[in-house]
Amino acid sequence: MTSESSEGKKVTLKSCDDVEFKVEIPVASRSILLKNMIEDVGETDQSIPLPNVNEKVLKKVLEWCQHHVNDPQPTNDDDDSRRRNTEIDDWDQRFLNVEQDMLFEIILAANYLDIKPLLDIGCKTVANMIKGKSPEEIRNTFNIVNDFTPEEEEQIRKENEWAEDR
Amino acid sequence: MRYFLNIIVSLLNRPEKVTLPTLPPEIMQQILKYVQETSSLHSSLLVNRYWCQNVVPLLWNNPFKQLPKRNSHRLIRTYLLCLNKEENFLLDFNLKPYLNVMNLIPRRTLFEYPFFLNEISFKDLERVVSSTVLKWCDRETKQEHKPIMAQIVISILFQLFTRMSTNLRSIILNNDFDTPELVAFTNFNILLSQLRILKVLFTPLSQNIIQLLDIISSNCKDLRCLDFRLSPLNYTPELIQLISTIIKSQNYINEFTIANISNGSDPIFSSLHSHKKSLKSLKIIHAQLTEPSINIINQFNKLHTLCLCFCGGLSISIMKCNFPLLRNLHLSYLYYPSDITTKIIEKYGKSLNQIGFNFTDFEVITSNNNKILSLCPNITELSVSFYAKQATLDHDFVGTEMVKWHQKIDELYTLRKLNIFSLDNSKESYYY
Repeated sequence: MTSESSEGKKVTLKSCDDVEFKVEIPVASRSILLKNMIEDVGETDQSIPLPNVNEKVLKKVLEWCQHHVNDPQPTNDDDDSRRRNTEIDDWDQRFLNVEQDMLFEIILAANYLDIKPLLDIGCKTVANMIKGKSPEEIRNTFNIVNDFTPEEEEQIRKENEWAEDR
Repeated sequence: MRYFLNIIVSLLNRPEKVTLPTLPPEIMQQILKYVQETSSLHSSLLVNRYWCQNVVPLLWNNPFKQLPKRNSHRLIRTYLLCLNKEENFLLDFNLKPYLNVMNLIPRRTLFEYPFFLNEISFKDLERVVSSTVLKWCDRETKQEHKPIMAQIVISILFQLFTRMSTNLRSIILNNDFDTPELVAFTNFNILLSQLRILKVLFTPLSQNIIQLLDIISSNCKDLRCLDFRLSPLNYTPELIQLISTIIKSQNYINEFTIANISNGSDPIFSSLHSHKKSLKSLKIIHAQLTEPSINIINQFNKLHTLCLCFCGGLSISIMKCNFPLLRNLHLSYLYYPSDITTKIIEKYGKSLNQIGFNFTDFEVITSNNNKILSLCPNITELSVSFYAKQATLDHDFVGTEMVKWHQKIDELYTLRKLNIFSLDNSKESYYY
């Protein structure tokens, strides 16, 4: 991320475990949160603290921002078209081929930093892991404890029976 | 046995199982929206309480849509469990003459399901209720009683929705069933006042629907999206007046669609004029435009989406337009290609993300070495509609055109995604 040949201005980001990253402004600006901060603060030597993101995750997120630095900024009104499209391009697929805890951390960081396209592909990846699975398989996949009482589970099943097998 | 083997294998593959952070509801919602398939959503529902709370709103926002017949009665059963005492009594009382056994014992449901209803299409509602009634009936039920029973159930459901569905935002009038006396319901005005989307699609326009539109015109103030696609004969001066009144009564309209209107559409465009600061999407399909209406369209400078399909009267005056925000453009002509397409694309091509044509516009696209497409470097979606009037339809012609399009589509490898809209030669009406 600290590419030396760059002529562009840089900003310093500080992860919650106190590791600093010097990042070109267009790369950091993939994050709407950072973009707005940089615009508000203007040029500064002070580092921007990111209390919700650790070094490992920040490094990964910045790798994504670097790769997608030239993508057009998403607009707010294309929600539906994004939703229709559940495909993820090859690079992004490889990028998100990580341990599950890392995947979830990336999603949380993308949400916090307001990087919609990254949040999107993260959510799509998780959605693809859910598709076609039984409740038990989903619980196993994400290590989730079933906290329904048997009566509750039965009632939920009955009340939503119409949605089973469609 | 296989189940246990699977667990062992998965444990071996993943020696350290980490506890995942709990995702906040807004992210859960987004993930679940991508899950899409209802059956997978149903699985997600049964994972645990937290997942359940997140799935229920999605599953119940428009449960009627595409619900298969065999599941209809199951959906209606759950809704009927949500009836209050009076509604339940009324249903029982009204159905008694027709139905021997009503296996409904109201009890508390785990969620107040009607609360999550966001969109309702009259056609879907009638379909689901009718198959439910069929399921209830036995051989002795008289044929003529079935529609009456369906009416009773629909009426009760409307009462339930009027009382509970505070999230209802969208009504699609696409079927002319005998609308219950909606006005008589307490809170029906409140239900209407929260509406954001109104679509009136291909319904035979009965007095019922007109009456409902009339009520809408005096009770809805916050409709953001209006969509009228009726048959040409329905656009009487009275209806045009009614549509204009609905348009004028709204605070901010963002999206407006009108189809199949041949004459007298000027009052509609005049009333749209007051929404020029908010209108983002305008779709006009099979309409006769006039110079005054084109001049009004030209002033909608907040448009993101413009669709002018098979419009008579579209003239070069449209070039006086100023649409700096235009992203999606769909232009089609039925009988003749037009250089308006080229001119508009020369003007706006760079900013377009999505572009649409009718399959008859092949020549327009490919002329001058795909000049049109090279003028749009940023498009990610190309949509091609396949519309032809039945009378002018020659199957061989359609066949060869389609082959040409397929080759072209393969060739346009730079486009990441191609959506192809429906091939529908049988209807006069354009639908998409």
